[in-house]
Amino acid sequence: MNKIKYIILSIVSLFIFSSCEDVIVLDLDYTQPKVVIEAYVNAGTNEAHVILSQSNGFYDTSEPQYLKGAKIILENQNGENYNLLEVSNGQYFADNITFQSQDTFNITVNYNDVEYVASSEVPSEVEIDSIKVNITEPPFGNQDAFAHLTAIWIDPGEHTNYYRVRPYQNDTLLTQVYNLENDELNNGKEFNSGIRERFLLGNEIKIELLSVDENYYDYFVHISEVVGNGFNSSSPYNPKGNFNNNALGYFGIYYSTFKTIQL
Amino acid sequence: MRKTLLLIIFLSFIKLLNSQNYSISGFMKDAETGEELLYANVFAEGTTLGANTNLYGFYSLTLPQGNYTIIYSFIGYEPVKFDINLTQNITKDIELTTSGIQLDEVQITARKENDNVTNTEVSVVTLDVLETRKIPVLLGEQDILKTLQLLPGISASSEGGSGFFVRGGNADQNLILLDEAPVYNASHLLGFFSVFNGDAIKDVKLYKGGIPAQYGGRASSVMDVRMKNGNLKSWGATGGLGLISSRMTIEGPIKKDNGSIMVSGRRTYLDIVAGLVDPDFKEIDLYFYDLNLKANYKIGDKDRIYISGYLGRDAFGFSERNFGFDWGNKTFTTRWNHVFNNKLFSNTSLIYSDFDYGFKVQANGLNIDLDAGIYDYNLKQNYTYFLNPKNTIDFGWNGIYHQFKPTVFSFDETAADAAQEQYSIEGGFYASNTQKINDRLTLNYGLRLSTYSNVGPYIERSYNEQDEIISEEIHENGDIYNNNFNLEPRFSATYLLDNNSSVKASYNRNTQYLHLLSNSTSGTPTDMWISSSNYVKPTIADQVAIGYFRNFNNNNYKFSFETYYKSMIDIPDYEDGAETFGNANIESEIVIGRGRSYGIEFLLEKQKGKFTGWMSYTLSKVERQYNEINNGNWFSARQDRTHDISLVGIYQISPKISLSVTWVYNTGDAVTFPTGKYFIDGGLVNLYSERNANRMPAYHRLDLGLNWVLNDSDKFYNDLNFSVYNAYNRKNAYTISFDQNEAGETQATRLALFGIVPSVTWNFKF
Repeated sequence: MNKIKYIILSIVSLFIFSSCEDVIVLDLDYTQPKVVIEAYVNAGTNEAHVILSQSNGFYDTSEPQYLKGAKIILENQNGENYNLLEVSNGQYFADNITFQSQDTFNITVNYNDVEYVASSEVPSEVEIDSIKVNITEPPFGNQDAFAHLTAIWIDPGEHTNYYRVRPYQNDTLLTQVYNLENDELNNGKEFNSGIRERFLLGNEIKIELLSVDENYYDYFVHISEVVGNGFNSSSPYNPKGNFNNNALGYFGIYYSTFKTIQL
Repeated sequence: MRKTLLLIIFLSFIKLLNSQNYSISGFMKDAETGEELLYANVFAEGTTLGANTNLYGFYSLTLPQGNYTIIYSFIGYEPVKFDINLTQNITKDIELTTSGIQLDEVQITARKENDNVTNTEVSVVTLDVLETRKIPVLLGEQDILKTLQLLPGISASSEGGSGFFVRGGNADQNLILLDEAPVYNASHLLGFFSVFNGDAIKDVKLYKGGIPAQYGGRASSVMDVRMKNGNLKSWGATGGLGLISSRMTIEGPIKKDNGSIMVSGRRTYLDIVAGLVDPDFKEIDLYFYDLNLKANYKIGDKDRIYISGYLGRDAFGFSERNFGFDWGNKTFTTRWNHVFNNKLFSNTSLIYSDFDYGFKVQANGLNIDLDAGIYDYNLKQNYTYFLNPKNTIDFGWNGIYHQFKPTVFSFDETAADAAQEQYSIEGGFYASNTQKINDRLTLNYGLRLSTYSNVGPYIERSYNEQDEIISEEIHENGDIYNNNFNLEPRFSATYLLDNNSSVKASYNRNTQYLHLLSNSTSGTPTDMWISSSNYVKPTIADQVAIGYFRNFNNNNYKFSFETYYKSMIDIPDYEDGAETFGNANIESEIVIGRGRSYGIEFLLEKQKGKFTGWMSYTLSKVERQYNEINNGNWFSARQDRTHDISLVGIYQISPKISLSVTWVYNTGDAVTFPTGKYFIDGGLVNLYSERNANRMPAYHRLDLGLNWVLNDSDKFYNDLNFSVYNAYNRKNAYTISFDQNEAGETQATRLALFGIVPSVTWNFKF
């Protein structure tokens, strides 16, 4: 919808010859940094990762401000504990995590004597099956042809499943694209998930399928809404993840598989 | 039924008490075209007894037996006087001729020179459609909605837009009526143009407050637009050629003095011009058109039938690529005016109205279609009973059957899971009286009973906090449920301090049962109308307003001051991050809140002489409160523009040339900006402030216009209208977006939609 609006606006402004875009400096009062926790368990590799940082002011540097010295404990529903160790600046890690399918994990992050707690459930194990490539001629001349990719996999029937598809171009994650799916309308069937990105020919593309838990899915649905820029003019907000105490970020569990193709 | 009976007994009782009185009644019309004159004035010379014509041009004046000189007057027309010996009821139709001085004036608030002071209406604006022509506008497309936005208490929804907010209400809280039919989406082309083609419009009246009991269904305002009936005397045409559109109107008698017809059309050629400018746009369809049609016929002295219709459509697509998007309104009104006797007038209307949009695209050999709309069938009756010179009673009822068709996707004609269709019945019953207590005090009081019921088939669902369905109740076809009844008191009073000044006060309660949910700030055709239900309660608004009105210098200057307070409950809105497009359980994404707004409005007009115009200033506050947003604290609504100033000046250099200037200023909209940023999964995410805690930069703009009459004879009239929009090229922000530049720094980018935009339009009439 926003795309259509954009095209109409461009035509109107083209005709009027007078619309213009420029960078302006706003007086934005930034008050308090907020704690941001990205916590996830890769169920396929039995590893737990936490990236702990705090927010920056809008006109500050675009480097994450990592937080050191947190005490982080992951606990499964049988009471087994794992301490995450700080492996580098703001990066915390533990491995050999054991669990059964549908187990629940709790995570506790203690930073500066404030405790942030979240819990999440182990999702189903789902593998990516194949990638379909569709080459499209551009709508107007003088542009390069591009490809649309579709990731294909089989949804297991028994539970509600949630997915995220992450595309990488030449090993770089395309961060502004969020492909999120759930099986509400598709339970137990083959998934054909079109990736919302145009890929230029001549690149190596890796498509990663994450079978994720509901918390992870919900959080990224909100993130994908608020990062949509420009003509997405609905009232913006700060997505709430599953951590308490007003921490930004999420705690999620996923299985990851991928396929690589050369375009 | 019992109520009606009581009313009839009451009316006949009063009638008995006044049996030695007689009345003079009939229609007042324009002598040249036969168009009825609405709200025109009739009074007996040497007395304070008088009356106004109603919405259909009918008047009735009841006087004690005796000799009188009756004066008929209307602004811009020569008054007509004649003597009568009133010994029986008299029927008299009157035709007035234009006085010719009209061209020097821009008349915005009244029909009699001091009508703004003396009438009982508070917070009401009327526009003379002819006069709006002289005000400079974007691309020369004359637009009554944009002229209204230059008056206090009415503000534009966005740059160049025809959507509007009245006294802090939302854009969907304005009841927009075209010949009594509700218009659900009054804009074309993303809101840059309104659906009202000035050539087809006769009269516009906007109630910001003090809404009479005959109107119901929206919380904030009523905009009553009447189409031209068509010339009863002779055939003629008017039209214009503009930069982006052309229009043509033909009108004339079906049978002289008995019936007439008017057809008016307008179409844009933006796509054709865009194709010439840039070949890339050649295969794009982008246009809108409007068609207005009206016909009326007099059957005997007592009955008259009107038929009117509107059809408007916007389209956008790539025909070769099988991609298309279109939307539009249709309205159809059949009316029957009947004069029972000298005192009782009735109007019966049967109305159809709809708004719908459709979208189709072909992808991977699959035809994807999308449809949505709202469809209304409406029957109503209004009666005016001219009881005596001191009391005029209005009463009536209406019933609307609504059908809501939500967004439905279909793939190769197989419909996907979608929100359900909804059906409902909305009813209204009202009675009001305009009572002249004495020479100084006039009251208008009334009561409206509004009703609303959902109609099956429908599966009513309830949701938990995670928006999951927890229960379902099935309503069979034809089941009537969720019955709402609301009493809406309406009151206004005018107290004349002297001949030139008055104090007025009003109170009104309005209930709104239909809601437009919009996920965007400027409004798109895909915004969806939904019905009140078990979950979405009707919005109820209460407003009080007090005003002081004063005319100076023989009514040359008019001054008014009004202050108001409005409070609203049960305003629905989407929750943060609502999934709206094609969602089958849209109600689970809605939050319900409250609103309040208050302000003061000043208006100073100069209406005579070579220089005319007005200054308008509004100081106001508009707030909303939702438990789920901003920790339940009150926050500024987007349209909370603290200061709002409009200046309009028109200078008649010579009889043929006039210059016009408008300047507007308002505080920037309340919006949510990021104050910080953070990183998730390697991507940058903005950290936002509280809801609407920031401000867009202040908006201001100067427009210039020049109207040059090339030829003005009885047979042919034509003029050229030049306008310059945004003359000092102010870069007003339409949107501000936040993104990263190539160096990785975050920055704010302003999009200014319109720089300086000159245009020219040629208008003709013969």
